[in-house]
Amino acid sequence: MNYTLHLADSALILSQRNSEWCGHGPVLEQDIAITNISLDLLGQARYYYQYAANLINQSAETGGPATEDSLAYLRTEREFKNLLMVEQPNGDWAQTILRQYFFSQYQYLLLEQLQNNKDEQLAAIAAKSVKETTYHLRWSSEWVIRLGDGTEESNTRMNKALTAIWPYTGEMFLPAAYETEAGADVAALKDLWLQKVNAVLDEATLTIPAKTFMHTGGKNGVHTEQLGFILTDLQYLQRAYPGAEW
Amino acid sequence: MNTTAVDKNVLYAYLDEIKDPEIPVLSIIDLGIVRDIQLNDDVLEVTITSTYSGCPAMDMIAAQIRVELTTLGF
Repeated sequence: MNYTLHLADSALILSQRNSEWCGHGPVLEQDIAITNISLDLLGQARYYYQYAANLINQSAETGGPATEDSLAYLRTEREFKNLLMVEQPNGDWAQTILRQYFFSQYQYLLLEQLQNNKDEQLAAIAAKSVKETTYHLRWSSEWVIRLGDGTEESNTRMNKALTAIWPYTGEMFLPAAYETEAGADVAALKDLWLQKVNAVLDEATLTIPAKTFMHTGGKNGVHTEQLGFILTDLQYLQRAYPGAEW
Repeated sequence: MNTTAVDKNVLYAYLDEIKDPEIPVLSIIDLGIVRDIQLNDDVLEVTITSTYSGCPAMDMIAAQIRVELTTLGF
């Protein structure tokens, strides 16, 4: 159940961050692209939250009743298990697409693995989601190359983005206890991820920062101050008018 | 309505009348939203899937399927 929440939370928070671009994209086509990706992620989050709610409601110990909405809107920072990387600020377009690329490359490899998980529901969600993630990966990797190997300004911005985001990439491959329990092996994804990422960054004429300290904690509820601001926005209505319905 | 002998093709034809809310020339059959129809005793089970995970029209499409089939006597 914790593993399902981790998957849901990462998708939800990244969706929320990406949606901040709505109406503010650099060009119309990309405004639509990033918000579509946002919606895909939201849909995936819903699948995971619905499943987690079922698990909670079926289990006598963990308490309920839970719904996809109570899980998204009524939990507090320490209960969220999303990756630290997805709660970081959008920054400029360079930073946003770089974050998306790092996440989508990881998510693609993870979902491929998850399709074979012993939990049938997780495997089913993974099979459905990987089709969308395939596109997210293509879209974001192409943007990394386009901006990295673009103008002097775009290259500078990409390097700045790399410095900002790289310290959050390590967390993806450090397993939390609940990941191992659920049969997910994220450490095994690291080499292939690095291989793919190196190839793309190479073509984008960008260099990976050397010897960076990697931030961790998100998977276990210890977040950066960013998450507080995100939740204040996301959860405002339910907090101000508890139990509000249409 | 006699529910013991239901022709699936007839049911698919009825569901073909339900269109995508945004692109009304396409039906939910065209879009591959309807995956299966099963008749178990007196219960008609229609299995649907979303075109993409975040599709907000799914609740509406599910409701329309229910309305359509109820009107037909199921």
